[in-house]
Amino acid sequence: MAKQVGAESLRTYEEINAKIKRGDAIVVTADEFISHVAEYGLEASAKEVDVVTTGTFGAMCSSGAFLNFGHSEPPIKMSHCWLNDVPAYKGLAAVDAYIGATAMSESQGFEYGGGHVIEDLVRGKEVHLRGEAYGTDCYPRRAIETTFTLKDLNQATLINPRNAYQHYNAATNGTDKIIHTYMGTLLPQFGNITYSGAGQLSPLYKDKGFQTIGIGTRIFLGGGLGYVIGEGTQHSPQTQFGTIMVRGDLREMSPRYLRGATYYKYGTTLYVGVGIPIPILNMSVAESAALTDDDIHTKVLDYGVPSRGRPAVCDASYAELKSGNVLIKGRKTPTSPLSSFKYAKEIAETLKRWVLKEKFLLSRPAELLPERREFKPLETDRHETKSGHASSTSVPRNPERGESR
Amino acid sequence: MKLRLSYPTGKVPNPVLSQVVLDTKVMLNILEAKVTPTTGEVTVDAPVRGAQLERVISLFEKQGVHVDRILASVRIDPDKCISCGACVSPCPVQAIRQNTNWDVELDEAKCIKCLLCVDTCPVRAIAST
Repeated sequence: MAKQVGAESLRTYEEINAKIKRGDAIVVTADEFISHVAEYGLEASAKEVDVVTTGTFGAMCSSGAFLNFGHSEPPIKMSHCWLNDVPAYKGLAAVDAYIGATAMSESQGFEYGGGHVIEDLVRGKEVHLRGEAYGTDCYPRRAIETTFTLKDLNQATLINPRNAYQHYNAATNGTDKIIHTYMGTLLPQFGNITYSGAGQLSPLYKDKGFQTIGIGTRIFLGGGLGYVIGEGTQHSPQTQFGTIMVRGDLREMSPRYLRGATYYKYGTTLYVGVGIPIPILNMSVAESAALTDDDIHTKVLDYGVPSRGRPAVCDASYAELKSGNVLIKGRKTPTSPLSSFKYAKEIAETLKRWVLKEKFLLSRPAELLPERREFKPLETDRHETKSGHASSTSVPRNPERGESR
Repeated sequence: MKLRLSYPTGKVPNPVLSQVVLDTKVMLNILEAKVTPTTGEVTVDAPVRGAQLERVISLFEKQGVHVDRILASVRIDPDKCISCGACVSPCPVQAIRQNTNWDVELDEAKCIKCLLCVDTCPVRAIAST
Protein backbone atom coordinates (compact mmCIF):
# COMPACT_ATOMS: atom_id res chain seq x y z
CA MET A 1 0.00 0.00 0.00
CA ALA A 2 1.33 3.42 -0.98
CA LYS A 3 2.08 5.68 1.94
CA GLN A 4 -0.43 8.47 2.24
CA VAL A 5 1.00 11.98 2.28
CA GLY A 6 0.43 13.52 5.69
CA ALA A 7 -0.76 10.21 7.17
CA GLU A 8 -1.17 10.55 10.92
CA SER A 9 0.20 7.12 11.69
CA LEU A 10 2.34 8.07 14.70
CA ARG A 11 0.01 10.68 16.19
CA THR A 12 -2.81 12.97 15.13
CA TYR A 13 -3.10 16.76 15.42
CA GLU A 14 -5.82 16.23 18.03
CA GLU A 15 -3.57 14.00 20.12
CA ILE A 16 -0.73 16.53 19.94
CA ASN A 17 -3.00 19.43 20.91
CA ALA A 18 -4.48 17.45 23.79
CA LYS A 19 -0.94 16.88 25.08
CA ILE A 20 -0.06 20.56 24.64
CA LYS A 21 -3.16 21.52 26.64
CA ARG A 22 -2.29 19.00 29.36
CA GLY A 23 1.27 20.28 29.37
CA ASP A 24 2.97 16.97 28.59
CA ALA A 25 3.77 17.36 24.89
CA ILE A 26 7.38 16.66 23.91
CA VAL A 27 8.58 19.62 21.90
CA VAL A 28 12.17 20.09 20.75
CA THR A 29 13.98 22.35 18.30
CA ALA A 30 15.30 20.85 15.05
CA ASP A 31 18.86 21.05 16.47
CA GLU A 32 17.76 19.13 19.57
CA PHE A 33 15.86 16.57 17.48
CA ILE A 34 19.01 15.87 15.46
CA SER A 35 20.99 15.24 18.68
CA HIS A 36 18.18 13.05 19.99
CA VAL A 37 18.16 10.97 16.81
CA ALA A 38 21.95 10.63 16.95
CA GLU A 39 21.65 9.25 20.47
CA TYR A 40 18.49 7.13 20.40
CA GLY A 41 17.92 6.44 16.72
CA LEU A 42 15.22 7.73 14.39
CA GLU A 43 12.47 5.32 15.35
CA ALA A 44 12.71 5.87 19.10
CA SER A 45 12.97 9.64 18.63
CA ALA A 46 9.98 9.74 16.30
CA LYS A 47 7.93 7.81 18.86
CA GLU A 48 8.93 10.14 21.67
CA VAL A 49 8.89 13.60 20.12
CA ASP A 50 5.56 15.22 19.21
CA VAL A 51 6.68 18.47 17.66
CA VAL A 52 9.94 19.80 16.16
CA THR A 53 10.31 23.57 15.97
CA THR A 54 12.26 25.36 13.24
CA GLY A 55 13.35 28.89 12.43
CA THR A 56 14.89 31.14 9.86
CA PHE A 57 15.75 34.84 9.72
CA GLY A 58 16.76 36.09 6.32
CA ALA A 59 16.26 38.75 3.69
CA MET A 60 12.92 38.04 2.02
CA CYS A 61 12.24 40.54 -0.75
CA SER A 62 8.75 39.29 -1.49
CA SER A 63 7.33 40.77 1.68
CA GLY A 64 5.05 43.67 2.43
CA ALA A 65 2.05 44.90 4.36
CA PHE A 66 -1.51 45.87 3.57
CA LEU A 67 -2.49 49.00 5.50
CA ASN A 68 -5.85 50.67 5.97
CA PHE A 69 -5.46 54.30 7.02
CA GLY A 70 -9.09 55.14 7.79
CA HIS A 71 -10.96 58.00 6.10
CA SER A 72 -10.05 61.66 6.35
CA GLU A 73 -12.55 64.54 6.39
CA PRO A 74 -13.28 65.31 3.60
CA PRO A 75 -12.47 61.84 2.31
CA ILE A 76 -9.93 60.95 -0.35
CA LYS A 77 -9.47 58.05 -2.76
CA MET A 78 -5.71 58.14 -3.06
CA SER A 79 -4.35 57.16 -6.46
CA HIS A 80 -0.76 57.43 -5.28
CA CYS A 81 0.73 57.53 -1.81
CA TRP A 82 4.11 57.61 -0.13
CA LEU A 83 5.11 56.47 3.35
CA ASN A 84 8.22 58.32 4.51
CA ASP A 85 8.73 59.07 0.81
CA VAL A 86 8.53 55.39 -0.17
CA PRO A 87 5.82 54.73 -2.77
CA ALA A 88 3.13 52.26 -1.73
CA TYR A 89 0.83 50.43 -4.14
CA LYS A 90 -2.50 52.24 -4.47
CA GLY A 91 -4.36 50.21 -7.06
CA LEU A 92 -6.84 49.33 -4.34
CA ALA A 93 -9.79 50.96 -2.53
CA ALA A 94 -9.64 54.56 -1.29
CA VAL A 95 -7.47 54.20 1.81
CA ASP A 96 -6.00 50.72 1.37
CA ALA A 97 -2.36 50.46 0.36
CA TYR A 98 0.36 47.82 0.07
CA ILE A 99 3.84 48.76 1.11
CA GLY A 100 6.37 46.41 -0.43
CA ALA A 101 9.81 45.71 1.07
CA THR A 102 11.81 46.57 -2.04
CA ALA A 103 10.13 49.93 -2.82
CA MET A 104 12.76 52.60 -2.33
CA SER A 105 12.54 56.10 -0.92
CA GLU A 106 12.34 58.82 -3.55
CA SER A 107 14.61 61.02 -1.45
CA GLN A 108 16.97 58.57 0.29
CA GLY A 109 17.14 55.88 -2.39
CA PHE A 110 18.97 52.75 -1.36
CA GLU A 111 19.27 53.80 2.27
CA TYR A 112 15.57 53.55 3.10
CA GLY A 113 12.78 51.47 1.64
CA GLY A 114 9.53 49.67 2.27
CA GLY A 115 11.26 47.20 4.58
CA HIS A 116 12.41 50.09 6.75
CA VAL A 117 8.88 51.59 6.77
CA ILE A 118 7.54 48.26 8.06
CA GLU A 119 10.26 48.10 10.73
CA ASP A 120 9.55 51.71 11.79
CA LEU A 121 5.83 50.98 12.04
CA VAL A 122 6.49 47.96 14.24
CA ARG A 123 8.84 50.08 16.37
CA GLY A 124 5.88 52.39 16.98
CA LYS A 125 7.55 55.28 15.16
CA GLU A 126 5.56 58.00 13.48
CA VAL A 127 5.36 57.57 9.70
CA HIS A 128 4.71 60.40 7.25
CA LEU A 129 1.90 59.84 4.75
CA ARG A 130 1.53 61.82 1.56
CA GLY A 131 -1.27 61.04 -0.87
CA GLU A 132 -2.63 62.32 -4.16
CA ALA A 133 -5.99 61.89 -5.83
CA TYR A 134 -7.89 63.13 -8.87
CA GLY A 135 -11.01 63.78 -6.77
CA THR A 136 -14.45 62.28 -7.31
CA ASP A 137 -17.97 63.26 -6.32
CA CYS A 138 -17.80 60.80 -3.44
CA TYR A 139 -14.11 61.39 -2.57
CA PRO A 140 -13.60 65.11 -3.22
CA ARG A 141 -10.24 65.55 -1.51
CA ARG A 142 -7.25 65.70 -3.87
CA ALA A 143 -4.25 65.78 -1.56
CA ILE A 144 -3.38 64.67 1.92
CA GLU A 145 -0.38 64.96 4.18
CA THR A 146 -0.27 63.69 7.74
CA THR A 147 1.54 61.38 10.13
CA PHE A 148 0.38 58.19 11.76
CA THR A 149 1.63 55.31 13.88
CA LEU A 150 0.80 51.61 13.73
CA LYS A 151 -1.83 52.09 16.48
CA ASP A 152 -3.77 54.58 14.34
CA LEU A 153 -4.35 52.10 11.52
CA ASN A 154 -7.47 49.98 11.19
CA GLN A 155 -5.53 47.05 9.79
CA ALA A 156 -1.84 46.45 9.26
CA THR A 157 -1.41 42.97 7.84
CA LEU A 158 1.89 41.55 6.78
CA ILE A 159 1.28 39.45 3.67
CA ASN A 160 4.41 38.03 2.15
CA PRO A 161 3.95 36.34 -1.23
CA ARG A 162 7.21 34.37 -0.93
CA ASN A 163 9.06 33.52 2.26
CA ALA A 164 11.26 30.86 3.78
CA TYR A 165 12.80 29.12 0.76
CA GLN A 166 13.54 25.49 1.71
CA HIS A 167 17.19 26.10 0.80
CA TYR A 168 18.95 28.51 -1.52
CA ASN A 169 21.87 28.64 -3.92
CA ALA A 170 25.19 29.88 -2.59
CA ALA A 171 26.97 32.63 -4.51
CA THR A 172 30.47 33.37 -5.74
CA ASN A 173 32.00 35.59 -8.42
CA GLY A 174 34.29 34.38 -11.20
CA THR A 175 34.86 37.79 -12.79
CA ASP A 176 37.81 40.12 -12.25
CA LYS A 177 35.69 42.76 -10.58
CA ILE A 178 33.97 43.01 -7.21
CA ILE A 179 30.20 42.73 -7.62
CA HIS A 180 27.33 43.71 -5.33
CA THR A 181 24.31 41.45 -5.53
CA TYR A 182 21.28 40.37 -3.57
CA MET A 183 23.67 37.70 -2.30
CA GLY A 184 25.86 40.44 -0.86
CA THR A 185 29.36 41.54 -1.77
CA LEU A 186 31.28 39.05 -3.90
CA LEU A 187 35.02 39.45 -4.28
CA PRO A 188 36.67 38.85 -7.67
CA GLN A 189 38.12 35.55 -8.85
CA PHE A 190 36.05 33.35 -6.55
CA GLY A 191 37.26 35.42 -3.57
CA ASN A 192 34.41 34.41 -1.30
CA ILE A 193 31.11 32.54 -1.08
CA THR A 194 27.92 33.82 0.50
CA TYR A 195 24.95 31.61 1.23
CA SER A 196 21.47 31.88 2.61
CA GLY A 197 18.95 29.68 4.39
CA ALA A 198 18.94 28.14 7.82
CA GLY A 199 20.19 24.66 6.87
CA GLN A 200 19.08 22.09 9.42
CA LEU A 201 16.81 24.64 11.13
CA SER A 202 15.08 25.60 7.86
CA PRO A 203 11.29 25.33 8.37
CA LEU A 204 10.40 23.99 4.93
CA TYR A 205 13.34 21.55 4.76
CA LYS A 206 12.21 19.91 7.98
CA ASP A 207 9.00 18.89 6.25
CA LYS A 208 10.69 18.29 2.93
CA GLY A 209 7.70 16.52 1.39
CA PHE A 210 5.16 19.16 2.52
CA GLN A 211 3.22 16.58 4.52
CA THR A 212 2.29 18.91 7.37
CA ILE A 213 2.68 22.50 6.13
CA GLY A 214 -0.31 23.86 4.25
CA ILE A 215 -2.99 26.52 4.13
CA GLY A 216 -3.86 27.41 7.69
CA THR A 217 -0.67 26.22 9.37
CA ARG A 218 -0.12 28.43 12.42
CA ILE A 219 3.43 29.80 12.55
CA PHE A 220 5.83 32.26 14.16
CA LEU A 221 5.96 35.30 11.89
CA GLY A 222 8.00 38.39 12.65
CA GLY A 223 7.84 37.75 16.38
CA GLY A 224 4.05 37.34 16.35
CA LEU A 225 1.51 34.81 15.29
CA GLY A 226 1.02 34.15 11.60
CA TYR A 227 -0.45 31.67 9.18
CA VAL A 228 0.60 29.98 6.00
CA ILE A 229 -1.96 31.05 3.40
CA GLY A 230 -0.70 29.09 0.43
CA GLU A 231 2.25 28.11 -1.68
CA GLY A 232 4.69 30.97 -2.15
CA THR A 233 5.55 32.38 -5.55
CA GLN A 234 8.17 30.30 -7.41
CA HIS A 235 7.28 27.34 -5.17
CA SER A 236 9.31 24.44 -6.53
CA PRO A 237 9.29 21.69 -3.91
CA GLN A 238 10.57 18.94 -6.19
CA THR A 239 13.94 20.75 -6.29
CA GLN A 240 13.79 21.75 -2.59
CA PHE A 241 13.02 25.34 -3.56
CA GLY A 242 9.60 25.20 -1.93
CA THR A 243 8.22 28.48 -0.56
CA ILE A 244 5.20 29.70 1.40
CA MET A 245 2.90 32.70 1.36
CA VAL A 246 2.23 33.97 4.86
CA ARG A 247 0.12 36.51 6.72
CA GLY A 248 0.11 37.97 10.19
CA ASP A 249 -0.98 41.02 12.16
CA LEU A 250 1.83 43.58 12.14
CA ARG A 251 0.60 44.92 15.48
CA GLU A 252 1.62 41.69 17.21
CA MET A 253 5.09 41.63 15.72
CA SER A 254 8.48 42.70 17.01
CA PRO A 255 11.18 44.83 15.36
CA ARG A 256 13.68 42.18 16.45
CA TYR A 257 12.28 39.82 13.84
CA LEU A 258 11.32 42.31 11.12
CA ARG A 259 14.28 44.39 10.02
CA GLY A 260 14.52 46.75 7.09
CA ALA A 261 17.75 46.18 5.20
CA THR A 262 19.80 47.44 2.27
CA TYR A 263 21.86 45.32 -0.05
CA TYR A 264 24.53 47.66 -1.38
CA LYS A 265 23.90 48.67 -5.00
CA TYR A 266 21.02 46.22 -5.13
CA GLY A 267 18.19 47.70 -3.12
CA THR A 268 16.13 47.49 0.03
CA THR A 269 14.51 44.42 1.51
CA LEU A 270 13.11 43.04 4.75
CA TYR A 271 14.66 40.48 7.08
CA VAL A 272 11.76 38.30 8.21
CA GLY A 273 11.72 35.80 11.04
CA VAL A 274 9.71 32.66 10.30
CA GLY A 275 9.32 29.59 12.51
CA ILE A 276 7.13 26.57 11.86
CA PRO A 277 6.21 23.75 14.24
CA ILE A 278 6.47 20.37 12.53
CA PRO A 279 4.17 17.72 13.99
CA ILE A 280 5.88 14.34 13.82
CA LEU A 281 2.88 12.62 12.24
CA ASN A 282 4.68 9.70 10.65
CA MET A 283 8.14 8.20 10.09
CA SER A 284 8.65 10.02 6.82
CA VAL A 285 8.10 13.43 8.47
CA ALA A 286 10.45 12.35 11.28
CA GLU A 287 13.10 11.39 8.73
CA SER A 288 12.86 14.81 7.12
CA ALA A 289 12.92 16.64 10.47
CA ALA A 290 16.10 14.72 11.34
CA LEU A 291 18.05 15.91 8.26
CA THR A 292 21.33 17.54 9.22
CA ASP A 293 23.52 20.24 7.69
CA ASP A 294 25.54 17.38 6.16
CA ASP A 295 22.43 16.10 4.37
CA ILE A 296 21.35 19.46 2.94
CA HIS A 297 23.29 20.35 -0.17
CA THR A 298 23.24 23.35 -2.42
CA LYS A 299 24.97 24.58 -5.55
CA VAL A 300 27.50 27.38 -5.52
CA LEU A 301 26.61 29.57 -8.51
CA ASP A 302 28.74 32.12 -10.31
CA TYR A 303 26.84 35.38 -9.86
CA GLY A 304 29.45 37.02 -12.09
CA VAL A 305 27.40 35.65 -14.99
CA PRO A 306 24.44 38.05 -15.23
CA SER A 307 22.05 35.46 -16.55
CA ARG A 308 19.17 33.48 -15.12
CA GLY A 309 21.20 30.39 -16.01
CA ARG A 310 24.15 31.10 -13.75
CA PRO A 311 26.66 28.25 -13.99
CA ALA A 312 27.32 26.10 -10.94
CA VAL A 313 30.92 26.19 -9.74
CA CYS A 314 30.63 23.41 -7.18
CA ASP A 315 28.30 21.71 -4.75
CA ALA A 316 28.46 22.18 -0.98
CA SER A 317 26.55 21.00 2.06
CA TYR A 318 25.38 23.49 4.67
CA ALA A 319 27.86 21.84 7.04
CA GLU A 320 30.70 22.70 4.64
CA LEU A 321 29.36 26.21 4.11
CA LYS A 322 29.06 26.73 7.87
CA SER A 323 32.65 25.55 8.42
CA GLY A 324 33.90 28.87 7.00
CA ASN A 325 35.70 27.49 3.94
CA VAL A 326 34.77 25.61 0.79
CA LEU A 327 37.18 24.46 -1.87
CA ILE A 328 36.76 26.06 -5.29
CA LYS A 329 39.16 24.63 -7.85
CA GLY A 330 41.35 23.34 -5.04
CA ARG A 331 41.52 26.71 -3.29
CA LYS A 332 40.12 27.36 0.17
CA THR A 333 37.43 30.00 -0.29
CA PRO A 334 35.98 31.88 2.71
CA THR A 335 32.24 31.45 3.19
CA SER A 336 29.74 33.40 5.25
CA PRO A 337 25.98 33.39 5.67
CA LEU A 338 23.55 36.20 4.83
CA SER A 339 20.71 34.96 6.98
CA SER A 340 21.23 34.91 10.73
CA PHE A 341 21.76 31.49 12.33
CA LYS A 342 21.74 33.15 15.73
CA TYR A 343 18.24 34.52 15.19
CA ALA A 344 17.06 31.32 13.46
CA LYS A 345 18.00 29.38 16.58
CA GLU A 346 16.34 31.98 18.79
CA ILE A 347 13.12 31.69 16.73
CA ALA A 348 13.08 27.86 16.96
CA GLU A 349 13.59 28.17 20.74
CA THR A 350 10.91 30.86 21.10
CA LEU A 351 8.43 28.76 19.15
CA LYS A 352 9.25 25.77 21.36
CA ARG A 353 8.52 27.91 24.41
CA TRP A 354 5.24 29.12 22.89
CA VAL A 355 4.05 25.56 22.27
CA LEU A 356 5.13 24.39 25.72
CA LYS A 357 4.23 27.38 27.88
CA GLU A 358 1.75 29.45 25.95
CA LYS A 359 -0.38 26.68 24.55
CA PHE A 360 0.39 27.51 20.92
CA LEU A 361 -1.71 24.80 19.28
CA LEU A 362 -0.92 23.14 16.00
CA SER A 363 -3.42 23.58 13.21
CA ARG A 364 -4.34 20.90 10.73
CA PRO A 365 -3.98 22.53 7.32
CA ALA A 366 -7.19 23.06 5.34
CA GLU A 367 -5.20 22.03 2.29
CA LEU A 368 -1.63 20.81 1.82
CA LEU A 369 0.69 22.60 -0.59
CA PRO A 370 1.51 21.10 -3.97
CA GLU A 371 4.40 18.62 -3.96
CA ARG A 372 5.33 19.59 -7.51
CA ARG A 373 5.21 22.88 -9.32
CA GLU A 374 6.89 23.77 -12.59
CA PHE A 375 9.19 26.81 -12.30
CA LYS A 376 8.81 28.48 -15.66
CA PRO A 377 11.04 31.18 -17.16
CA LEU A 378 9.78 34.30 -18.93
CA GLU A 379 10.45 34.28 -22.65
CA THR A 380 10.96 37.63 -24.33
CA ASP A 381 9.93 38.70 -27.82
CA ARG A 382 12.71 41.15 -28.47
CA HIS A 383 16.21 41.82 -27.32
CA GLU A 384 16.95 44.57 -24.88
CA THR A 385 18.44 47.61 -26.55
CA LYS A 386 21.66 48.98 -25.13
CA SER A 387 20.48 52.54 -24.65
CA GLY A 388 16.77 52.33 -24.05
CA HIS A 389 16.36 50.17 -20.95
CA ALA A 390 15.26 50.80 -17.41
CA SER A 391 15.85 54.52 -17.34
CA SER A 392 12.48 55.22 -15.80
CA THR A 393 12.28 58.45 -13.84
CA SER A 394 10.49 56.72 -10.99
CA VAL A 395 13.62 54.75 -10.07
CA PRO A 396 15.41 56.72 -7.38
CA ARG A 397 18.97 57.58 -8.10
CA ASN A 398 21.32 57.73 -5.21
CA PRO A 399 23.83 60.44 -5.90
CA GLU A 400 26.51 58.90 -3.70
CA ARG A 401 26.18 55.30 -4.67
CA GLY A 402 25.39 55.41 -8.34
CA GLU A 403 22.62 53.55 -10.02
CA SER A 404 21.75 49.97 -9.38
CA ARG A 405 20.40 47.54 -11.87
CA MET B 1 51.33 49.52 12.25
CA LYS B 2 49.28 50.06 9.11
CA LEU B 3 49.92 53.20 7.13
CA ARG B 4 47.94 54.87 4.41
CA LEU B 5 50.24 56.56 1.90
CA SER B 6 48.79 59.29 -0.29
CA TYR B 7 50.95 60.10 -3.28
CA PRO B 8 50.53 63.62 -4.54
CA THR B 9 50.43 64.44 -8.26
CA GLY B 10 53.80 63.85 -9.85
CA LYS B 11 55.19 61.46 -7.24
CA VAL B 12 53.69 58.30 -8.72
CA PRO B 13 56.46 57.75 -11.32
CA ASN B 14 59.11 57.73 -8.55
CA PRO B 15 59.84 54.40 -6.84
CA VAL B 16 59.33 56.00 -3.40
CA LEU B 17 58.23 52.84 -1.67
CA SER B 18 61.14 50.77 -2.96
CA GLN B 19 63.53 53.51 -1.86
CA VAL B 20 62.09 53.48 1.67
CA VAL B 21 62.37 49.69 1.82
CA LEU B 22 66.00 49.77 0.64
CA ASP B 23 66.93 52.57 3.04
CA THR B 24 65.24 51.14 6.12
CA LYS B 25 65.32 47.40 5.27
CA VAL B 26 61.76 47.28 6.67
CA MET B 27 59.67 44.76 4.75
CA LEU B 28 56.62 46.82 3.91
CA ASN B 29 53.65 44.72 2.90
CA ILE B 30 51.27 46.32 0.40
CA LEU B 31 47.72 45.56 1.49
CA GLU B 32 45.82 47.73 -0.92
CA ALA B 33 46.85 50.01 -3.77
CA LYS B 34 44.91 52.42 -5.92
CA VAL B 35 47.27 53.98 -8.40
CA THR B 36 46.36 56.19 -11.33
CA PRO B 37 48.83 57.84 -13.73
CA THR B 38 48.79 60.98 -11.58
CA THR B 39 47.96 60.06 -7.97
CA GLY B 40 48.07 57.05 -5.75
CA GLU B 41 46.85 55.70 -2.43
CA VAL B 42 48.58 52.70 -0.94
CA THR B 43 47.90 50.93 2.34
CA VAL B 44 50.93 49.15 3.76
CA ASP B 45 51.71 47.20 6.86
CA ALA B 46 55.00 48.22 8.47
CA PRO B 47 55.88 45.43 10.91
CA VAL B 48 57.99 47.72 13.11
CA ARG B 49 57.59 50.12 16.04
CA GLY B 50 59.23 53.06 17.73
CA ALA B 51 62.20 54.73 16.08
CA GLN B 52 62.16 52.37 13.09
CA LEU B 53 58.53 53.21 12.37
CA GLU B 54 59.21 56.92 12.73
CA ARG B 55 62.07 56.60 10.24
CA VAL B 56 59.82 54.88 7.69
CA ILE B 57 57.22 57.63 8.08
CA SER B 58 59.73 60.46 7.85
CA LEU B 59 61.32 59.02 4.70
CA PHE B 60 57.95 58.89 2.98
CA GLU B 61 57.14 62.40 4.12
CA LYS B 62 60.48 63.67 2.88
CA GLN B 63 59.48 62.45 -0.59
CA GLY B 64 56.22 64.39 -0.33
CA VAL B 65 54.04 61.37 0.40
CA HIS B 66 51.37 62.05 2.99
CA VAL B 67 51.23 59.36 5.69
CA ASP B 68 48.18 58.54 7.83
CA ARG B 69 48.53 56.05 10.66
CA ILE B 70 45.56 53.69 10.68
CA LEU B 71 44.78 53.57 14.36
CA ALA B 72 41.14 52.75 14.83
CA SER B 73 39.18 50.95 12.16
CA VAL B 74 35.48 50.32 12.17
CA ARG B 75 32.99 49.71 14.92
CA ILE B 76 30.19 47.13 14.91
CA ASP B 77 27.14 48.35 16.83
CA PRO B 78 25.93 45.30 18.77
CA ASP B 79 22.44 46.78 19.14
CA LYS B 80 21.98 47.01 15.39
CA CYS B 81 23.90 43.87 14.33
CA ILE B 82 21.70 40.87 13.50
CA SER B 83 24.67 38.45 13.40
CA CYS B 84 23.95 37.57 9.79
CA GLY B 85 27.51 37.30 8.51
CA ALA B 86 27.11 39.35 5.32
CA CYS B 87 30.28 41.30 6.23
CA VAL B 88 32.41 38.27 7.07
CA SER B 89 33.56 36.58 3.85
CA PRO B 90 33.79 39.81 1.81
CA CYS B 91 36.47 41.14 4.21
CA PRO B 92 39.59 40.96 2.04
CA VAL B 93 41.93 40.44 5.03
CA GLN B 94 39.69 38.13 7.09
CA ALA B 95 39.52 40.65 9.93
CA ILE B 96 35.88 39.76 10.67
CA ARG B 97 34.76 36.39 11.93
CA GLN B 98 31.77 34.79 13.58
CA ASN B 99 32.19 32.98 16.89
CA THR B 100 30.40 29.76 17.83
CA ASN B 101 27.26 31.80 18.69
CA TRP B 102 27.47 33.42 15.24
CA ASP B 103 28.23 36.78 16.87
CA VAL B 104 30.34 38.93 14.58
CA GLU B 105 33.79 39.86 15.90
CA LEU B 106 36.33 42.27 14.48
CA ASP B 107 40.09 41.83 14.75
CA GLU B 108 41.26 45.44 14.77
CA ALA B 109 44.88 44.46 14.20
CA LYS B 110 44.04 42.88 10.85
CA CYS B 111 41.65 45.60 9.64
CA ILE B 112 42.97 47.78 6.82
CA LYS B 113 40.00 50.15 6.98
CA CYS B 114 38.94 49.48 3.39
CA LEU B 115 35.35 50.02 4.61
CA LEU B 116 33.92 47.33 2.35
CA CYS B 117 32.06 45.97 5.39
CA VAL B 118 30.41 49.34 6.03
CA ASP B 119 28.63 49.21 2.66
CA THR B 120 28.05 45.48 2.84
CA CYS B 121 26.23 45.48 6.18
CA PRO B 122 22.51 45.16 5.36
CA VAL B 123 21.40 46.87 8.58
CA ARG B 124 24.07 49.61 8.70
CA ALA B 125 25.52 48.31 11.95
CA ILE B 126 29.13 49.02 10.94
CA ALA B 127 30.55 52.52 10.97
CA SER B 128 33.97 53.92 10.31
CA THR B 129 35.54 55.33 13.46
